[in-house]
Amino acid sequence: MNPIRIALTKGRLEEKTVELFQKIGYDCTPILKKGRKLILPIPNGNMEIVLAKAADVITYVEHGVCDIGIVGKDTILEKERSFYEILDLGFGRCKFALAGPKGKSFYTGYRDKCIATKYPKVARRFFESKGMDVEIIKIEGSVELAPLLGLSDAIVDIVETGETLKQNGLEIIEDVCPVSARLIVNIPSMKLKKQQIEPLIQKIELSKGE
Amino acid sequence: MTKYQNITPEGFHDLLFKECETRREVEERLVSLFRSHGFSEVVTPSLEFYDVFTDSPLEPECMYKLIDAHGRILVFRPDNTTPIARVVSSKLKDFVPPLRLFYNQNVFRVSPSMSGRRDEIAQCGVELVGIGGKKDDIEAIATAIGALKSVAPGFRVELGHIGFFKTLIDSLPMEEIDKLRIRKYIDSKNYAALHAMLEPFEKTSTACKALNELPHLFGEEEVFERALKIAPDGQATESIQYLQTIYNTLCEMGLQSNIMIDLGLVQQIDYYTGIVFKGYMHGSGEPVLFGGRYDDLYKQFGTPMPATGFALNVDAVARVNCKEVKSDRADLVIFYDKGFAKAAFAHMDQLITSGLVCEVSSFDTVDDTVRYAKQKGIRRLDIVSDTITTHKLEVSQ
Repeated sequence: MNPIRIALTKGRLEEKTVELFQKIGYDCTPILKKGRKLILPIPNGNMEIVLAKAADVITYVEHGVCDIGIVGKDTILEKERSFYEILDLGFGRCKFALAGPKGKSFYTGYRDKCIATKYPKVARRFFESKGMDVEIIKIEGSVELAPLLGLSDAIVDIVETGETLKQNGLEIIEDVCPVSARLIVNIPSMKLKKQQIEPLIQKIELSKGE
Repeated sequence: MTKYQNITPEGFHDLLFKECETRREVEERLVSLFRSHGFSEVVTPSLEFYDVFTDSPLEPECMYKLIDAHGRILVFRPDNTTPIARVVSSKLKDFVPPLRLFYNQNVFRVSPSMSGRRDEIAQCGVELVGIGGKKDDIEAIATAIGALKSVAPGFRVELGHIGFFKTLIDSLPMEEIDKLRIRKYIDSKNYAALHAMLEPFEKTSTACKALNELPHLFGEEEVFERALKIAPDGQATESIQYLQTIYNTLCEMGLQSNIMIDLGLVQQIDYYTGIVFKGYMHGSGEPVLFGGRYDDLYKQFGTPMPATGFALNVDAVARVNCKEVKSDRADLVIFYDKGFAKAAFAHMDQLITSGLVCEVSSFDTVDDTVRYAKQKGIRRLDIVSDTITTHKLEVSQ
């Protein structure tokens, strides 16, 4: 039987996922000692781990070259692609929030507001749901800079502790939605490889409860 | 040179040689299968009025549009079933039902940029219009399985019934927007979000309990038992029982290993009205076949009639089949001297009937022909002059 291929988001989620896999009994040494290899077989399970950037995890799973992916809800919301979103893994928790300069009211005045964000689709949907016209500018790096430099009125971004906002004189205006790591599955894989995928999902789900 | 002179628009592709051949082969097999099952072909125009698709489940954003000379909006056909409903309602309304129709033509859809999806998709499918009922449902699914069997080495067809979900969701005291959300969560098997959303209603409603279980209700025969246990009486139970009789009949027909169940198939609920099914093929990351019963579609064309059918994504199937590449080259090249054209072409016809693929040399000398044949990897040269001589060519790989 072909191994199940799992795409893992590199970085913070990777550590947490390795912890999770170790907890349910998989030998993760190849991931811990990966060197420069990109496809890593798990010795005591019929599976392979692929390390990728978050957005690529979604692309690989959507096209079925990886069966399973572990990726943050933030990226899922921004990519809007089709796959099964089976489990909320509970780690990597943070939230999307609308934030602006402290003490400045955002929802007043008639001028269209300008929003800087790394997540233009999330921002667009949020304001569409409010029926509010805004101008959205995509920023690649530290979004907090945009209102400080006077480019935008506010930002839509991921907020974890709120420390960066605070240090830059910004505050949360409104929460947009919560974010955490998700387990996603390619649709045909879920159907054609059910005997391999379902037991793994069950193991993960059980270990979450512990 | 202008900027886009040498490239195709994103989502559109040239198909060359083997790619074409595999796709044509898939088409031919499907077309001959549909013909032999009594289906007749319909070709509709590539451009239709936008009005034909205003009630379509497809979003207007995914349609390629243009404006005709009179300022009216046209679309490149984004789907085949709707134009066929238009044809049946206008030109075939006096024909004796059932109508068994098939099509083999492309659809055009705008897909997200850089997603690797195609915007022009070759579809081959059938429509069974006018009578409805169990026999037609069975025929549609059995034909879909037959179609996949003829073109895909490994595949499964998954069956569901939209009535189960519809009955459950309609019984909930909820805003439409929340119902839409629940449908999306079930469709993407997002158990966590679904559970959180249904929790406030859970204690009071059997429908809620059933909805919460819905994404889990997929697999083999045992799904029916699990579903019947949690289904509220009435229409929800009836939908499952109906699906079960269809499933049992297909099993009696020896198709058990080709089918499975997913009651969580809940896409396009405003379009489908009964049985729904999807086909998956090993090697393809997306479903390759979509089908189901859509009894409400013909209402919008003024001729209410039951209808069922399915469409196969010919390109997706061909892409999987094309991975086993065979050679594109001819078996031999024929060179003829001046004045021997007639003999050369007669010789070629004879070889073709014996099953060989032949090329006639475009060159004026034997040397040039040999050089060309070697470059292309053709291993045999026939020279037609006063006599016909056959030469073996050494080809370095």
